[in-house]
Amino acid sequence: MSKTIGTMSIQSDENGLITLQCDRCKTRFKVECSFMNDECEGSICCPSCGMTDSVNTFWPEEIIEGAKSAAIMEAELLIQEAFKGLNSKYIKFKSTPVKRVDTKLSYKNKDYDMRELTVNCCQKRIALMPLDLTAGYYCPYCGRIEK
Amino acid sequence: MNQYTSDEIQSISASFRNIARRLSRTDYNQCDSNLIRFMNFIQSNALINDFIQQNHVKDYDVKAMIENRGRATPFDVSPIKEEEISMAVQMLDYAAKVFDGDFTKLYGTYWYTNLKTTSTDEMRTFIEHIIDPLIDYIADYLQACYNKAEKDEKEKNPMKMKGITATNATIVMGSTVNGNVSNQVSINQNTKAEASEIINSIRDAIQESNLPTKDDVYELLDQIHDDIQSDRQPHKGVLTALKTLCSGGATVIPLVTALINLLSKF
Repeated sequence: MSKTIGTMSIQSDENGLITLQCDRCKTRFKVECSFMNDECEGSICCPSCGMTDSVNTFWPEEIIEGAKSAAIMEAELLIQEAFKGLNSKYIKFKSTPVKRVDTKLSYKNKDYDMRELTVNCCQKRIALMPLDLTAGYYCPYCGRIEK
Repeated sequence: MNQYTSDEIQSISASFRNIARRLSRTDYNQCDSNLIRFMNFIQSNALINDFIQQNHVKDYDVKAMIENRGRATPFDVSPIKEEEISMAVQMLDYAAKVFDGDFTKLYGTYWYTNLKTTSTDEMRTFIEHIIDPLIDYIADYLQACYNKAEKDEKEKNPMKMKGITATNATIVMGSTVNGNVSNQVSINQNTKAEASEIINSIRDAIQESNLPTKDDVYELLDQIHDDIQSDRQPHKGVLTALKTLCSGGATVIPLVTALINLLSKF
């Protein structure tokens, strides 16, 4: 049993790239928005550490925090609803008002320092921080060593 | 050490990262099999095993380290890269052989740095301290090997120009009677064939280059090709523009120069 409690959208930058973040090494990078919407088959390779994992592990931390806040609010509402009216001689239930958070969130691009390039193997665009470019990277679309 | 091609190193890197990810992301139930799989891979692969042996600079008494560790005190990791690699490999090898792969027994499973968290959290902390750095060192080494192999391959097999030479072709400037000079030129078939071949070579070289002006270059090449096939003299400005656009490509410029020399005989 699952229930959708909100929606979050990630806006691409002016070049059509959206920001992702590796859960393992915390590196932030960008991939093509069109790839994420149309071609992604469920896994992405981190350009920095080279580990391939499910797309669900690459959401940026601000999105994870937003989702957590929404989930906590929903859980508190459910608990409050469950104990509503439960007053007896021996048990009284008191609760503070649940702090409401917006569950329809939109995240705008804020990674302006990344440099865009085209990976040779897949001929698709990515963006990386300059330090990650210098250190060498993997193609996030196919996992090949690029540099 | 055996010489590996860049493709072979790509394949080794992909396999390594796949197995390393399973260990890095392991849950407690699979930690033993994932560690044994990882250790088998790095010890059986000659390229990675060479790296490990090169960085084997110190012997650690892992049993003593386990016994002497304080409760909730992390293992002391050396700031020297070779010692860090030595320690990680020897600890994980010990866990694979003595604890059947259950590396959580290296720190007693439940308490690594914190007495109040779950065994899964403690396992994650141990992985971040000891296992992930080793994985990153090996991945970086494979990346460096790939870059070197690719560079060596490019030096050994430079872009070939397919034996194109520019010859002094026979060009006849046509003119009509009564002093009118027509725009038509007669280009012999050999010259047309040579020019077409040079143009195709330039296209191939451009495709494999990193020049940002590829589309513009293709357009100019199409125009030049059409002119030659129609016995029209390619405009001098077009040839100059082609040379300018290709100026960033070391392998392309000789071909462009050969084409210009061939066509300049008009």
